[in-house]
Amino acid sequence: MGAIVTKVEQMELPRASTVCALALVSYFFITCGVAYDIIQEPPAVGAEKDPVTGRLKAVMFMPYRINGQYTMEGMAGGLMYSMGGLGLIVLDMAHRRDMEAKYRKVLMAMGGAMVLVGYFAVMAFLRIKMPSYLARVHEGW
Amino acid sequence: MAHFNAYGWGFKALLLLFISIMAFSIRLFSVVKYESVIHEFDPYFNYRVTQFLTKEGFYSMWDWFDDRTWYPLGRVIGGTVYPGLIFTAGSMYKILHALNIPLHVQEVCVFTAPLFSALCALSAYGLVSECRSDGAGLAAAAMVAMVPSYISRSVAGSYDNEGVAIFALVNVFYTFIKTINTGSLGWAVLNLLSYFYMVLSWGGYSFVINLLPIYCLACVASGRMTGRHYLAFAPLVFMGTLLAASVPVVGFNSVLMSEHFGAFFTCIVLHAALALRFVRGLLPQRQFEAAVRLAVTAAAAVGAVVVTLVVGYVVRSPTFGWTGRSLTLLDPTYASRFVPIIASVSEHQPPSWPSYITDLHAAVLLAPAGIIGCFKNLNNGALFLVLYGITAVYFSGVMVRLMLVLAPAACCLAGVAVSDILNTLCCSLKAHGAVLPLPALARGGGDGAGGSAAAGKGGAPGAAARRGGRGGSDGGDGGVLSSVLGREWNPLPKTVAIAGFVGVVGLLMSYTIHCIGVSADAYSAPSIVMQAPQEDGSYYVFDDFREAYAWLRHNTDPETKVASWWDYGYQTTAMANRTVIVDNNTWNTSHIATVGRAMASPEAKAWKIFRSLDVEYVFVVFGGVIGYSGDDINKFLWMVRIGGGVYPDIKEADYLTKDVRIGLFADLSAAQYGQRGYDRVRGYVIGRTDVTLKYFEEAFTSQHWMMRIYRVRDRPLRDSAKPKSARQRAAAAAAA
Repeated sequence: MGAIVTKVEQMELPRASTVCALALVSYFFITCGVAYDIIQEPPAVGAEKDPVTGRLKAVMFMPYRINGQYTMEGMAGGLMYSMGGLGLIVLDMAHRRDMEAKYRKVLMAMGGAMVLVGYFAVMAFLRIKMPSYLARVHEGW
Repeated sequence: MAHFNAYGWGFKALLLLFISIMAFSIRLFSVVKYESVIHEFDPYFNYRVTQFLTKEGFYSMWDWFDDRTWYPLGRVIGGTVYPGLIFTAGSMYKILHALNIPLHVQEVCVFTAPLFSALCALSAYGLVSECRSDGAGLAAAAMVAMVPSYISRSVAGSYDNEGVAIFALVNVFYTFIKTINTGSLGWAVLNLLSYFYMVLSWGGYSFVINLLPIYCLACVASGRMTGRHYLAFAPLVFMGTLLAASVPVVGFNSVLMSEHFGAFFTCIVLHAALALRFVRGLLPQRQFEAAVRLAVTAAAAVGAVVVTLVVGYVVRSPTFGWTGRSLTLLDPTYASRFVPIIASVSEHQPPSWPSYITDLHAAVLLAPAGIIGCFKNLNNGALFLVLYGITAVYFSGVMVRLMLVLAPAACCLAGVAVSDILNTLCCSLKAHGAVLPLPALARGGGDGAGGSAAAGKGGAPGAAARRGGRGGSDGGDGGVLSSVLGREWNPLPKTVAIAGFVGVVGLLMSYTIHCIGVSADAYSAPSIVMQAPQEDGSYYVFDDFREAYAWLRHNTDPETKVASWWDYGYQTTAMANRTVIVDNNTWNTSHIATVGRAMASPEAKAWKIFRSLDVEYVFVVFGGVIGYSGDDINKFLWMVRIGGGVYPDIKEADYLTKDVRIGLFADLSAAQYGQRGYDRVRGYVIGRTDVTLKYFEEAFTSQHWMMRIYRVRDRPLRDSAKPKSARQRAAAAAAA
C-alpha cells in the first residue's frame, strides 16, 4: 500500500510537447476517415476497365460521391490536412529568438511550402473527385 | 488588449453587428431560390407540434397523446420530444402576436434557425474572447457565422433541433468559462440556466455533461483547480441533474444512464481535491502525509466496493448502461452489427476525408495551429478549447452528423490561430517601420492619453506633441510587441511579412467564397421540391411530393390509414393530415419490421399484413423516370434487413440477385411502367413488364411518376378463366 502511494506521488504529468504530438497524430488518423474504413471496409484503391486495352486500371479517387472514399485516398487527404497544420507550427518555430540564423530561412521556406502545398493539394484532390465543385458559382439562377 | 479605447469599443460592436447580419443572410439562399417552405423530414414533425402548441396551449402540448401516428400504438408527444426548439418558436410567435405583428407560424419556424445562428456567432465571440483575446473572438465569430457544416443544418427552413442546440452548446461553454474566470455567483446561475436550455433542446447535451467533467479532471490533474471550478461545475451536477430529470424525455435517465456517471464521478473527485487542499492548509507536513496515506487507504477500500457495485449494475444491461446511439459513438461497429435502423440512417455513417474540407474548409487547416497557440498561453479557457477541439474531432470522425459539434470548436481554434498569425505579421511590419502615417489617435498604442492630448491642443504644439507621441508610441509599441509575442520573438523580414499577410487574407477570402458557394449550391435544397437545370439557364421544378400529399389530403377519408416506408411519415402527417403506420421517430423496430416485411413479401401475404393493420392506402417513391436516386428501390435492401432483424423468414440473400422481383414493392413500383421500360436510376430496362396487381389498385401517380399511391382492395380481383395449374388439377383429382 505504501509503495502505491509513493508511486502516485512520484508520477509526473507528460510534457506539453508529448501531448501536442499525440493530439496531432490522432488528428491525422481521424481526418483520414479511419472510422469509415473500419465500418465500410472499402478497397485500398478502386479499379476500372480501360476501354481500349480491356485491362484493369487503378482508380485513386472514388468519383462523384462526397461521402465515399478508398482507403489510400483517405490517407492522402488526411496527410495533406495535417501537413497544412504542421506547416503553420513550423512557421511559428522559425521566428523564435533562440533559433540560429541558418535554420530560420530553411524553416520559414519549409513551413510556407507545407502550408501552400497542403492547401492547394487538398483543393486539387477535391476537384478531381467532384468535378462539379464550385463549377457553377458565377452563373445566374 | 490595452489598445482599445472608445473607438475600439464602437468598432467591435459594429463588426459584431455585421457578423450577425452575415450569419443570418447567408442562410437565406433557399428562401430566395425556392420559397419559404419547411425542408426535409424531421422539421415537418417539429412544425406540426409547434402548430399544436400555438393553437392549444402549453399544457395541452405537454400532455398530448398523438393517435395519428404509429397506428395502432400512438405516440406520447409530450414524453418523447426535446421541446426546446418548439418552445422557442412558440414564444417568439406569442411575443410577435402580442406586439400586433401577425406572422404566420410557418414563417416564425422557417426563420428561427438563422436567427439563432447569429446568436451563436455572438456566443462564440464571447467564448473565445474569454479564453484568449477580443481579436481572436472576432475572428472566431466570423468563421462560426459562415462555416458550411453549421449552415447545412440551420438554413432558413431547416426547422430542426440543431438550429437552436448549437447556440445552446456554445452558450453553455461561454457561461462556464465566464464563471471560472470571474467567480461570480450570477454567472454561475446563468450557467445553470444555459445548461437547462441545452438539455431541453437536444439529445447532444450528453456531450456537454461529459466534456465538462473531463475538463475538470484535467484541471485537477494539472494543478489549476480552484474554488471557481467548483462554483461552475457543482451546480451542474446537483441542480442540473434535477433540471434534466424534469424534462420528460430525459426523466430518470439522468441518474440511471451511464452518460451521467462521468459527472457524478468528477463531482466526487472535485470534493476530494478541495478537501485535500483545505486539510493541507491546517496540518504540518509530516502529519499531513500520514493523514493522506490513511485517507488513500480508506478511499481505496470504499472505492473498490463502490466500483464493484457500479460495474455490477452496468454489466447487467447489454449495452453497459449507455443508450444505443451513444454506444454507437464509442464503438462504431455496434450499430452495424446489432441495430440496423441506426446503421441505415445516412447521417450516422462515419465521414470520409472530403467531408472535412467541404464542411470546414480553412478551419480544418488552421485548427492544429490553434491548438499550439492555445498551449503557448495556457490558461483555464485555452485548456478548455483544446479539450473541446480534441473530443469533437474524435466524435466527428465516428459519425458524420457530429461534424456539426466539431464546427464551432474548429472555428474557435482557427480564430485563435488567425489572430496569432496576424499579430505576428503585423507586429513584424510595425517593427520595420513599414506603417502608414496615420494620426496618433487612430494608431492607438499604449498612449491613449497622449493621443487625446494631441487632439486637445492643435496647431504647432499639437503637431510636435503628435510627433513626440508617435516616437513614444514606437518605443511603446516595441514594449507592447514583446509582451504580445513573448520573449522569443524575432521580427520576420519585411517581404516575408507582407507575403504572409497577403496569404492569410487570401486564405480567408477563399474560405468566404467556398462557404457562399457551397451553401448556395449544396445545402439549400429543400428536399421536398427539386430542380433540374436546363440549357437556357432556367430551372425545371419537380413538385411531386406535395402534389401527392395534397391528393391524399383532398381525396381520401380523414380517418384513413396510410402506409409507406418510415422516411415519409412526418411529412404525411403534417401535409396530408392522415394517420400513418410508421414514421421517422423509429422508436418501435418491430412495427417498422412489419411494414418492411409487407414490402418484401409477395402480393397476397402483403395484402394480409396491411389488412391486419387497417391500412387503406400504400405509397412508394419511385425515381426511375427522372433519375431521382433517393427513391425507395435504393432503400429496399434496408427494408429487407430491418424486416429480417425481427422476422427470420426474410433472408437478405434471397433478394440480392439482380432480379429483385419477389416482393410487393417491386410490383408496385413497376406496375404499368412496362411501356416506358427504362429505369434511369439503376440504368437498365425493367425486366418484368407484365405486372398485374390483384390485391391493390393504382389510385394516383404523380406527374413525374415519383409518388405512386395504391389502394388496398377489400377483396382480391377474381381471376378471369384461367386453366388450372398442375397442382390444382392434382388437388381436385385427389378430392374427387
